[in-house]
Amino acid sequence: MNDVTDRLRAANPVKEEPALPPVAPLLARLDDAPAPRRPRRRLLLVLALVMTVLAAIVVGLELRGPDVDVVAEARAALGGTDAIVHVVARDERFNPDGTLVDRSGTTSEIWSARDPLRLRIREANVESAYADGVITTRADGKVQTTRLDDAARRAIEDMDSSTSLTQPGRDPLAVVRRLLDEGALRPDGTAEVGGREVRRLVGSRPAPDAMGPAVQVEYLVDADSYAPVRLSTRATLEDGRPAGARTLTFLEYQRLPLTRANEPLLAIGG
Amino acid sequence: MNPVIRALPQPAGERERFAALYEVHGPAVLAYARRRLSADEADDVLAETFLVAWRRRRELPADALPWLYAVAGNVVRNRARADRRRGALQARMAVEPAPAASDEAPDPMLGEALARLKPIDREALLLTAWEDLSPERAARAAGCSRATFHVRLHRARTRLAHALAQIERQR
Repeated sequence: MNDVTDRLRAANPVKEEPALPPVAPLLARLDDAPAPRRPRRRLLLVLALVMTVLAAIVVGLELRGPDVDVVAEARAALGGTDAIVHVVARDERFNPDGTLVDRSGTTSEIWSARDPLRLRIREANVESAYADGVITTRADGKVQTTRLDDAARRAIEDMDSSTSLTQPGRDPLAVVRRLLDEGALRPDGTAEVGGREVRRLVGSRPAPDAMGPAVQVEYLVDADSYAPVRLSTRATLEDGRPAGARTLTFLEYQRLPLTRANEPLLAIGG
Repeated sequence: MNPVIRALPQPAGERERFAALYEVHGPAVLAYARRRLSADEADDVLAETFLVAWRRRRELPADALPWLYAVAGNVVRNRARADRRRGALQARMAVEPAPAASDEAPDPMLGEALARLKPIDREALLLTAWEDLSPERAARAAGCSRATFHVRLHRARTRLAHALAQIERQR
């Protein structure tokens, strides 16, 4: 090191890192900072990928796991995959200081079925449906239909290939069964929520790197049917400070018979 | 955000990872800004830098700090340009990032010598001396190759030494 560099170091006007303003106001602005505009085709691909994430949790019947009672019970509760899964869920995200993220708390309703994949989502005044490579969206009375290209279609049709502890997908009962099977979730007693007996299933995801937070996961499921009641995730920094949380409250969970009468539920206006 | 996309359960942790990024690197970015601007302006630079990081979160490299410094540097320069257009004297001070954040200038001659350097030379010196980056990381923050940065840094040190000698001779 030479004299000039030493002199520069000595003249550093901010030698100690300053106190950081709270992150909460910044998090509240994130939705106002959209990603740069992309070509329409790219947007569709993004939509398809998000939908892939959404429904990534459907579990194949061939899954095998340890000889644990709760696994067998959850497996029995799931029944076959020949059903329409109907979920109504409220999604709330929390800042590290515990306040609700601005514009969080939306409720969405999802119907889905497999073989072939069909999906319908309703939130507020917008409906979207996927079937046979086509996404149809109805917003404010206007209907728009878009045929996905091969890559986007493959992405959405291949939605069963990924799963994670923190992604409940379109069928939380199936993901609970899978996570129990894999040992990623373990029973941790029972509790009572709104007069309903629930099982508490817990798991955790370690920090992916020095920068990423660890995540603790708690599923509350109906004690008998294993229907999801609530999923809570809590992110924590390496030094123990909170880095945000999320609660998905399942207001409704049904597995409806896949009959001709119910089939319209999978299409817009159903 | 498209309400349809928002309706879909999204990969958990994106906001949490962003909050963690802020907690881990925010102090360094804020210090970077305060070394170059006033405290109030530095807070704005911090927020703008992390909003850019959120918009471009898919481009964030594993070693995020040099990338964040690069963004913060752009934000600082954009603000300086805007201020300069308004012709404010204070803005002019911001353009020349002498040790402006300090109440008392610990080395006024050094500040004057720094102000005489080209901005890219000055930034090369400050990234290594004040932000304490290795030449490799500083090169990433400066947006050039490591070899180019080494040349630039050597040149900047030489020019700073010459400027200091000149100022000392004048006094």
